[in-house]
Amino acid sequence: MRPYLAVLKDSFREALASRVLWILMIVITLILLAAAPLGFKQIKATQLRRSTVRDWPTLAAKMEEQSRTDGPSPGRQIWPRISDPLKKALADSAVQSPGELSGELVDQFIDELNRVIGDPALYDAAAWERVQVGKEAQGLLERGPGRTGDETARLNRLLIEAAFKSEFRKGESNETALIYAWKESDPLPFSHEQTTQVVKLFLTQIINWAVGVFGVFAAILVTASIIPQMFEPGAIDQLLSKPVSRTFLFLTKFLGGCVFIGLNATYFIAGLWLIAGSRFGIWNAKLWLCIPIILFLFAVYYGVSALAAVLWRNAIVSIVLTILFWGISFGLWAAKGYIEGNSINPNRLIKLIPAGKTLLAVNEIGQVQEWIPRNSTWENVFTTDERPRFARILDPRPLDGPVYDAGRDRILATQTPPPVGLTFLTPPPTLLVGRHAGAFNGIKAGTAPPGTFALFASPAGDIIAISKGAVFRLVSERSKKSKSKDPPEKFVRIGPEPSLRLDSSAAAAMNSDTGAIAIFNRGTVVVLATDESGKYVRKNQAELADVKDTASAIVAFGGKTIVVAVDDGQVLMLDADDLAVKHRMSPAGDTPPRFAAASPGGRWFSVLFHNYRLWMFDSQQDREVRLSLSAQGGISGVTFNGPNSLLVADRANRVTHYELDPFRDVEVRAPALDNWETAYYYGLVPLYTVLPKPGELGNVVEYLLTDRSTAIGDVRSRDLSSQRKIVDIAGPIWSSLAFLAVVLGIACLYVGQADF
Amino acid sequence: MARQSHGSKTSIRDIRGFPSWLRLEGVVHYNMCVMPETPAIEVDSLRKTYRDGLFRPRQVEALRGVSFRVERGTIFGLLGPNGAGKTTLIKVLLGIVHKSGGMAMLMGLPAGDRRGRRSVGYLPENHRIPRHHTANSALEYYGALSGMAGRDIRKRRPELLELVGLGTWGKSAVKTFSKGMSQRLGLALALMHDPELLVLDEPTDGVDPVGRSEMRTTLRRLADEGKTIFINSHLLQEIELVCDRVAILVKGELRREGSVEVITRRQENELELTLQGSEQAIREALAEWKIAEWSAPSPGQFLAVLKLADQPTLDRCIDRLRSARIGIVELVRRRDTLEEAFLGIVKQPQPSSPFIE
Repeated sequence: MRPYLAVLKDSFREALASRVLWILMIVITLILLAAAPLGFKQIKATQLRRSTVRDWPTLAAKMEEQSRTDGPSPGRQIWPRISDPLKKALADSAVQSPGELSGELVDQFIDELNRVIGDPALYDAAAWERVQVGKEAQGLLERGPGRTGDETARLNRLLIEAAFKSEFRKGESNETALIYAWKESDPLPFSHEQTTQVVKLFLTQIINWAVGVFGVFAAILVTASIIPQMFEPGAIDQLLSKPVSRTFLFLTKFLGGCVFIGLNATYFIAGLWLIAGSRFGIWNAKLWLCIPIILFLFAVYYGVSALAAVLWRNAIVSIVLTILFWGISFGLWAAKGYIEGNSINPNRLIKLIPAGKTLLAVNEIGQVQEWIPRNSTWENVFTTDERPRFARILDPRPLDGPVYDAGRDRILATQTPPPVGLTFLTPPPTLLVGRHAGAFNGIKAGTAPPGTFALFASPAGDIIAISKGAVFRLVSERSKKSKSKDPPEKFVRIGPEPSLRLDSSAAAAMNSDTGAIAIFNRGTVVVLATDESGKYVRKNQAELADVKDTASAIVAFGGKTIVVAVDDGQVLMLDADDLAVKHRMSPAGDTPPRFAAASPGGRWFSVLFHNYRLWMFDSQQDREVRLSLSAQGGISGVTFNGPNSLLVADRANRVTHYELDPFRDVEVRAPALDNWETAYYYGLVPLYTVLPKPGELGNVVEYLLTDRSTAIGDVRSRDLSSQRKIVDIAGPIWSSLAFLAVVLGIACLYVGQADF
Repeated sequence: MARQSHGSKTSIRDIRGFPSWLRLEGVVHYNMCVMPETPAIEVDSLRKTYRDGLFRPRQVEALRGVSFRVERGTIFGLLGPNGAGKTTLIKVLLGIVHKSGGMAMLMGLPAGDRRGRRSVGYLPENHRIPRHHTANSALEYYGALSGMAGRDIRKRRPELLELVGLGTWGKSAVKTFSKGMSQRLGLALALMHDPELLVLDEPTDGVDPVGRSEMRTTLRRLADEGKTIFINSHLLQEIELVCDRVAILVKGELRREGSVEVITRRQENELELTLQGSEQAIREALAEWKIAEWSAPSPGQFLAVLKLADQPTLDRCIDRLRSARIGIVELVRRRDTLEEAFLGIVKQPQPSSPFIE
């Protein structure tokens, strides 16, 4: 052991004698010193912002409700101070589009509430008697009338927040400002949680790019000469004449290079950790785990460098080959990303809609396609988005639906148009209709209720829309004057009462046999069923245990079972009658679900997760079933087109039809691969699988720092059905480890056998 | 450990069949040393073929069936022109290069065996000590590589530096050292773990004459202490002055191996006779033999060089001179310098080319 420790010690000695180490240390110090003055400052908020409240319509409705009740209440103190025109506008909105408020109304409401907050007479002890106020508010109340204007505003804000706690976002009573040395920014328009998340993402980027790319690159340049120097004539002879193992000598020297870089990485990460902790309050111990990740990333490249050094014993060749390897890895990663981003992912079918005798599908960019058997291709239909393809890829506008209206042999969908101008006002969704007879050409047929997030075709043949406040049915506006076959249609509210008040992350599913609707909203499941008059009424409601009220979920409803797939990976099977939890499992760990479906008749249930794996449950057997689907891990869409029949989309745009009991595949609809796809499946993917994925180690860093196994572009988005980047934690580690083992194995074999 | 006297009489006779009466007492080194049962180095039919080139592979035979042995406690010199295979032979012995065939043993163990390398100190040709070292840290590093404990290293370091004449240079960076100083330090590195066998590849390369003389003294002292020293050099004078035995390697083949005086002995036994008497009487007495050279170095004294085939002829010649009452002032066997012997051996025609396409 002593000789190998001597080699390691010599690496330290060599590192300390190297000017490069000191230059690197100085550069790192300068970067850390430049970053050190940056930080957060918590400001006690006295005003409300859009992000302060989670659900503005509900807040307005609750205030209005309280104002109408007898006895003192916070609502009775606040609501009378709101102007009459705004009250009227809010009331109108609650009728026209329950659960929705236009951006303009929200802004007006915020302005008026902020005015109310400045009112010293807002607080009334009786009104807040039943409200539990925090220590800070208690302290301000105890100060009595001597409070300053800012203190009054702060107190009132805290009182309102305490009175309507569930409508306010957590941790929003403080605002965050960015500071750099003595300069302070205005409060940021994000919650503290969001800002912390942004800082964590920023840290991730620094580690991935500043360290993972440039740092490792510099490290390769610095260490490239260590092993060739060892193999120089005169030096290697002396080493090999010693009673040491060649293999261990080489590996120890390799380890020595890693130690050299480890010193630098530790110094940098320690500095970042201190800055993140002391300046941003992010004392994340997992940041330290980035050191082995960085070292591992370096070791992969250094392994290539060492192998080249052993074979050619020349530092220049070693550096050139390592850069070449980096270029190939990066090129493969970039090419794979480009092809996936431009061809594979946009074409990936995520929804399958059996439409009579034909099959329709929707891809990731919202394009509806029809399967043309004679050409074995998917052809675009229902195109309503006329923007160029790249614009649709960059800014996809997803459809709600489409659903197939069998009675009129047509498909319908709603699509939310982009915000108008700079006002960020969201117009109501557009209703799109495409008739089979007209080759499913999409025609704008009016608007859907504001806040519509789900569209269903009921067993009675009705088209049902669910908005955040109510359920609507599409009805024809037949008039005596109009004799057209296709009279104009509009959505009519058909319950429930009172309004639903759903969150933006609510999810709904319809039982295809009964037309009952199951809705998940903020940890609660509501079942709506039609009464004699055809209106939807609340049949049952239950709060789910162990499901956070901030959770998003996907719902499927079939027979007497409701499946709720929660964003933390939990799948709950509920009895539709009493909403009791029959089963609770996490078949995909903490991977969030993307889609869920139930078969007609309610025997089969499926949940498709964001890792492209399909989970199936047989309610007849009351157990989960493992189908031998070769496409597991690549499944992007799934639907049932019969009580015992399953359609599965995989490999981007291949659809396989399975019979479930007994299990067999019936038909495969697969278009011929185009050039990009051929290059991708037969060139890139095999190469990418074999070679290490140093670029993907960045995902591990991201996972460590953000605690997220999946990533979405917008940190505020909670839509589970939107595409998420899968963060494969173990994959890149294992493949890089295997590659490193092979490279070092070859090098050791060569060192052991070669003549020097 | 048993100590026994060992002479080189038997080995000289065995190797070339030279008559024992030609042995020059006092020139052959009778080393009184520890002699365990195995020689320090033993090679038999040792072969090494290098393969080179990817598209037109080429084989180069560096060693072609070399056989010899180096007894413990001797100083053995390996001679040969550039490209003879001397360094390859050392590298095979140390396991730096793998042999292609034959047998090579080091300290009684197969060449390359790690246990055998424990007792070897090696000074490579053009050795390179990493530039970040001082003399002290280099000794510490290579000592630890040999398995020495830090305490032992620190104890041995100053005396070794003193021995090689670098007593005041311990804290100096090796990058500031001259070639000669590097060689001295290299010798110290080789001696650091007190090895039984020293393998020195061109040890006096770059060392000034004074330094060479000191190094020779050091080597002789080490040999007297019982160390075996294997020197690879093309500086014939050095070898001649310090080595007990030498081997001459030419193009991968061992041409000669033996003690220095045997190697330098002329093939034809030339005797140089300084005689006292009349020229006529001397010439008559030697009429039976051909006089190769004749001169008169001083009045009444004549120098005659005769080529005598064997001992009886020499006896008869002496008898003839003595019966003719001619005085024999001096009788000297004529010999070559090592350089002359070396050149003579090297210039002998080769049986085959070492290069095989």
